Amino acid sequence: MTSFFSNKLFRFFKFFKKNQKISLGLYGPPNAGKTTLANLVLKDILGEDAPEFSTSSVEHETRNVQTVEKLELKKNGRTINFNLIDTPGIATKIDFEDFVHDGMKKKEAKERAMEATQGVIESIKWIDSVDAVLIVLDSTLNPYNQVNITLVANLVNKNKKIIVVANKTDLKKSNTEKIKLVFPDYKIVGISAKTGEGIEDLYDTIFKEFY
Amino acid sequence: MGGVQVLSHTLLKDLDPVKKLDKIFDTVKSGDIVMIEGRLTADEETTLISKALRNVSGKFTGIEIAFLEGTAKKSISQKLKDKIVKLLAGDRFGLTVIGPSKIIKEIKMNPEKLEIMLK
Repeated sequence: MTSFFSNKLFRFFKFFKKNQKISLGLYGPPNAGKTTLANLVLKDILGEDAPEFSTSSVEHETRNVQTVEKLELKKNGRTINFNLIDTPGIATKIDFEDFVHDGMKKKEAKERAMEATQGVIESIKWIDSVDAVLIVLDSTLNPYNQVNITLVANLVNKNKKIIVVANKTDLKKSNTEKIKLVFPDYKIVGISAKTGEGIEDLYDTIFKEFY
Repeated sequence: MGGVQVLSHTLLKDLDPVKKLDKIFDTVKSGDIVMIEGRLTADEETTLISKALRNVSGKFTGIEIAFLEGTAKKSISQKLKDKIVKLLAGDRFGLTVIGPSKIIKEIKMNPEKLEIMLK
């Protein structure tokens, strides 16, 4: 009898849970392709009317948290309502001289460095506000570094749901297996946010993990 | 500055978290590399990163941080022993290296080795 009522109660809450809106954050190091992925997701959902965030090969192009609200991801008759939160890349150091090396003038480079530091601090603050996270990593780079490990540990400590996205699978150097070795306890999905390869697998995994 | 300071677990364990991070950060900001017995919590590491970025200027560009676990593969009984020691004495396994990014170009990590590349 107790079990009957607890099952009903579970379904009742699950129903409301399914109709809740989740805040989905895109986190990761700079230049991993978070904004390119955000643009792809927005285009898939909103079509040609989708806003397009600026991307660049120069690090720290995204220096503010960018959000798009009231999105609906639909697949196989199911719907996830969510807000998308694209965050500046997490880094432990920002040197304006790196931007000078990328061809910027000193004044512009200093401004960018200042904005970038604020962006990272803002990203970290937003961790408390997200429910689920896509950790976007560049699969051509070694994933075993302290920033990635600290980020994952922090999200886990705060009970956030996680999917690790191994981006840039279109590049020759891409090594999704290495990411699987470093983060064996999490779902890893290989994609190319640039070409769209693997995006349907990512949507399927979002439904499996976050729905 | 530009030296290396090795801080024992005993020295840091009695400090409250704010003072502990202040001590580490002030040492790194002054230009020294800090080595700590054991590791910081994920929360402490994140706070340290935020603190470093709030202090970025022309002279200080942030930090490099890495943790060496020591042994990548442990037996179940060793893991259990580690957990008991951790519970009784705090997290003192491994080695954490934190240094100013003006001095450290990169720390290459793998579970058994850290390579600190200086500028």
